[in-house]
Amino acid sequence: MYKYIIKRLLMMIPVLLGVTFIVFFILNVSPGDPAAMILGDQASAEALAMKREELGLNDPLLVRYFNYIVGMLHGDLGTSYKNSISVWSQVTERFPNTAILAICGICVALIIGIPTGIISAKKQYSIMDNCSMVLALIGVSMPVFWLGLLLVIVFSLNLGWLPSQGMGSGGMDLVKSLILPSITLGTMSAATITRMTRSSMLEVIRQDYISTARAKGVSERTVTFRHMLRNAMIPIVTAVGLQFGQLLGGAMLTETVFSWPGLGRLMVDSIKSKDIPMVLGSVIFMAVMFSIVNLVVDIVYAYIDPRIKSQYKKK
Amino acid sequence: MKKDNTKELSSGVKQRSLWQDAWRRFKKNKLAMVGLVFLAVLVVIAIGTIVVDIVTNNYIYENYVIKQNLRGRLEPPSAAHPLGLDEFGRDMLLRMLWAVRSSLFMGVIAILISGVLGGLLGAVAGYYGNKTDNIIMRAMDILLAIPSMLLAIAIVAAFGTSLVNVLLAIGISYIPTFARTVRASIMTVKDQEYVEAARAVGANDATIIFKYIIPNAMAPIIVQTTLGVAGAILSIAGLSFIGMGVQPPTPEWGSMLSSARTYIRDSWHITVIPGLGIMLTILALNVVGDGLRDALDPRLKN
Repeated sequence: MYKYIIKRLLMMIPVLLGVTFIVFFILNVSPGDPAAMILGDQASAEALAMKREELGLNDPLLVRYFNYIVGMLHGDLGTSYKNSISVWSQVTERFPNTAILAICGICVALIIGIPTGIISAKKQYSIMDNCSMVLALIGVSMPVFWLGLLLVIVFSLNLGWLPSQGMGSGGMDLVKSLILPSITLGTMSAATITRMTRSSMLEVIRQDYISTARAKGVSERTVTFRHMLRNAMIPIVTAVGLQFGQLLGGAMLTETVFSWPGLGRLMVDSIKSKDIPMVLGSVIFMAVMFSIVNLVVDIVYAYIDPRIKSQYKKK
Repeated sequence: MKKDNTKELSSGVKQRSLWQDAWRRFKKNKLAMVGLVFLAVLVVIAIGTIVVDIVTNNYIYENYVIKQNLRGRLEPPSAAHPLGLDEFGRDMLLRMLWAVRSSLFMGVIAILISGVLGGLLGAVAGYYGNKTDNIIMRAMDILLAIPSMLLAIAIVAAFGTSLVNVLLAIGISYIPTFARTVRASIMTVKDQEYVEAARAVGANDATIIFKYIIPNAMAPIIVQTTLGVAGAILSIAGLSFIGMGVQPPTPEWGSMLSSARTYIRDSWHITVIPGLGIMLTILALNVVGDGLRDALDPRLKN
């Protein structure tokens, strides 16, 4: 198992280098002179040249990329063009807020998705199954931000139950302010996970070992959870892992709708103010987080499915 | 029932192609047919608004779709304006109709970009295998490791919010999906006897790929394309919603929602209606995509 984890960790390095390079490249070949952006229109030519030298803009791209990566490993992602704040401190300050939101979103998705999928599969073609499949179809088709706005109209503006904006500080306020954004963010994933759970349960449900287990007199509950779900779990885990990527994209939109002080909104605001280091830092940070989540998913995978582990042991 | 059987028997004498077979199965799926009809209506609306613009020399577009009329701001739906007026007193129905073309055509063009580029990469990787495959697919893995919305945002942030950039951004972010689909389906086809036969006859690689392999590996690609267009339309709407896609006053569902957000306290119809437009379009594409999958590959169905 450790060997497997180490191998996966090593495999992650080229991917991370590639990811950071692509993002770095895209955001550094963009038109516009950062020096002019910092110093303003009135700056003299010499001042601009000096600033450029200071920022290291005269170095070749690869050298700048190398410096950036070295800086990143030391917790330095450069400074914002707009207000000379350290990008690292901003990003790490905002990231926990996005993480809370994403985790709550995935929880909503799992709590709704897996049970609904199991029930739908066990009672295939029943009213319950048909209803949940229609709802799941609507769920995957709804734009995240629209759902958020609808929830705000109903639960904040008309019923006045929950806040429509911002993140509450501490205790009940935080929980209250989390409810709508998490539902918004989790719904699409819930729908995808419902469909995935249903179809992978259906694949398992007719297997011989299920009949065997029933014939042995195993209770229906044990059959469902130990024999069916465990075997149906692998595609579900994959789906959940992939959903995290969707979720990070969706977080940007959800955070915009609810004025949630997360990384996504930082990114959107920085793009609007053309603050390239901030955009770069937050995009790279998110992409790295996404890769780490994928790694964790792969490890969970090996844990759930002994076949993957044993396959590795043989080598 | 009996009638149908005889019909099937008599037509069974004639050979049906794979596509005719698939179409027959698709027609039986009512939900998918409804979706297809809805999409057809959207295409008619999109083309219709373009024709109207050309015929009237943009008169309707300039005077009703984008011209502000502050007297009737936020008016709720009525007989004269079935979908009400928006925050600048423009008719919502007209704006909804004129918005169809941006979403539909941009979604399709973005997916064409990724379909062609991704398809080509996937085809080369799947056909040649070994080193070529390894290099291309590792590059795709890297691209796939960046969530598509993030990649799109990075591209738009770097090069500005022009139409071309948005299309490229969305197009590029879907390349890996297509590369994977095409590669997988080519790998299943490439060792079949008829490909070997073509090779034995002396056909070159390009002929084999384009004449023998791709037509036979088409089914999953078509399904992927339909679902891809749905994803692309959602992404474009999302980018427009955060102000990085289609810019006002051009009507587009995502940007309409973005400006409606300011008036969410005053009126609900300008928020609900554009979202419904997006949702129904995506729903139709998803339903058609699912239907196509079932029709093209009956084995996959449950």
